Amino acid sequence: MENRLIITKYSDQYYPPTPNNFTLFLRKSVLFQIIRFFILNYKIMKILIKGHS
Amino acid sequence: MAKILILGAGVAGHTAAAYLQRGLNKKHEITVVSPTSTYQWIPSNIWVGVGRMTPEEIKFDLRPLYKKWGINFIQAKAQNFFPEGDAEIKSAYIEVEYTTKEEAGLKQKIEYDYLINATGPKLNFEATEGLAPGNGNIASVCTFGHASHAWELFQEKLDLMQNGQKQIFVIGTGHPTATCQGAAFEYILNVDFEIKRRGLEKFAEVIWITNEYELGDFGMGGAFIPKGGFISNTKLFAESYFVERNITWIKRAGVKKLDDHKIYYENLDGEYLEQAYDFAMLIPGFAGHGFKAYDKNGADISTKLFTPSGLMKVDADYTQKPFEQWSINDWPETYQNPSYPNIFAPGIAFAPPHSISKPMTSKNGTAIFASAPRTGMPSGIMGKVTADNIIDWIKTGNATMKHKASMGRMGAACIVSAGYGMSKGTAATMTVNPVVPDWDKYPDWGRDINTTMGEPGLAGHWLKWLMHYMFLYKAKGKPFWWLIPE
Ligand SMILES: Cc1cc2nc3c(=O)[nH]c(=O)nc-3n(C[C@H](O)[C@H](O)[C@H](O)COP(=O)(O)OP(=O)(O)OC[C@H]3O[C@@H](n4cnc5c(N)ncnc54)[C@H](O)[C@@H]3O)c2cc1C
Repeated sequence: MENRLIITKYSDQYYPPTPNNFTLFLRKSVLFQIIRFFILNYKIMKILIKGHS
Repeated sequence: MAKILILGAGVAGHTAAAYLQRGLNKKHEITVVSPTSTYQWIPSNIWVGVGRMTPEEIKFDLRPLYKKWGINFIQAKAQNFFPEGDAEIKSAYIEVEYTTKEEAGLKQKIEYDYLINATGPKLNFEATEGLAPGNGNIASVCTFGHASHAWELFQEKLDLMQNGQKQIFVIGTGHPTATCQGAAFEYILNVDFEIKRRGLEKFAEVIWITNEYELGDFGMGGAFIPKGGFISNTKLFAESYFVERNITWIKRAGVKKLDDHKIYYENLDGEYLEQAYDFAMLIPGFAGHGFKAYDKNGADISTKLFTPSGLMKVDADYTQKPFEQWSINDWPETYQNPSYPNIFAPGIAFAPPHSISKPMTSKNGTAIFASAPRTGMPSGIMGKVTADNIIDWIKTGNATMKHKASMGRMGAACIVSAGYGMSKGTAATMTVNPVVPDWDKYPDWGRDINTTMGEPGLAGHWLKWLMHYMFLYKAKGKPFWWLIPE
């Protein structure tokens, strides 16, 4: 069977981190993402307001 | 009464027009010149290019709005600059050529007291042989028209895959020094998402081709972001995104030429290589529009206003110096032309002092690296500070230039959509603060690590979707539009 090593042959594609199931779950979890939505909005606003005078 | 002339009705020009009409008494005359009468929310072109939105959903006609705001709109393209007037006309003026069907080719001289050149980039497809969209299997998403054609071509390829034919999709940069990698990155992720949504992945090979030294450079020299207990580089972030999706990549590639089925490129090792493709969407190089400028005696002073790339000179430090000596102080703050202080160039129209990413040259001497991007948020902010400075100047009679926005001090947010849908969609929310790394202030990471991030997830899609409606609401000048930030 083809494995990651055979497919990528030690090329650049062999090395990067890949998200595990928990990370993938959090990326799709509606509850977690609602919280992140507000945090991300807050961070963007912070950058924006400080960005010009 | 002051005459303010704005060239271009894109992010920077339209933002400036909106704030000028709000901040100035109606006795002042504001004129906008743009070759098309539509405003387009360019970031949503990505969704037009995969059939998730129609061009009508991302654009609107500016004329009724400008009428309501008391702004004169002229559908034309600027051609020649006369910042001192000439023998006949004593005041500064711009020569424009009409682009409407009825008046095509007709020229007019428009006088001004203050000029905002917000003409954005010339999409320099000609700089890469065979790159023009509409040529065989080549698409673009740089305008809504291009994106609409990209969707037609993509559908043809989806049909072929439905019939069991394997297709190679190559997406990325189409010129050795192209910028705007973020848009191409977004498009490749959306194309991949749509292929997989239809269960066609076994018939598709999706390849990223880029002039970046490493993935995740995005023309900003990459960024360090906190992730999983580490501070890691956006290289890992971008590569991880691709590995997760089985997208392969070719980096350090300067695309030179395309024919119907092959992309010809040179890499930093100086090798000349080829990549087969069935569908290509490659961002072209950006340049200035080739404007000419003349003094009052008719002598050509184009080099006083523009750099060799054709972009406008502003209050940047254009002294040639090695990469190690670059500083955030090289970057402009007011976008004012040093020779003619009543001329400003916010957005992509201004000439950056240099790139942000380290310039790289192949063994054959070809420059292969990402030029500096100027995304929507900074372009909007630059448009606003330009308007604020002109308003102050007109009201007080003094050019105080107290409103400032340097890319070395402001941050930017960019939401990289990677699939559409309120429950299935995903996008990476990326912020960098500041855009140009400030290694003196942040010696470890070049940027503020608390507000520089890259976070994939469903929330990013909601943000991107919200921004689409919010920014179009603002651009349409609906009630309380000015409460929505740039
Ligand atoms: C596909 C795509 C996706 C993108 N996604 C994002 C994103 O998600 N987030 C983000 O922040 N940025 C994004 N960007 C970048 C963003 O669109 C630009 O930063 C922004 O549009 C720059 O604004 P501007 O006003 O300088 O130029 P533009 O918006 O290009 O406006 C230039 C204006 O000048 C007019 N013009 C051209 N020639 C002339 C002439 N001779 N005379 C008069 N007028 C003229 C044009 O018609 C236009 O109205 C994306 C870009 C692309 C191509």
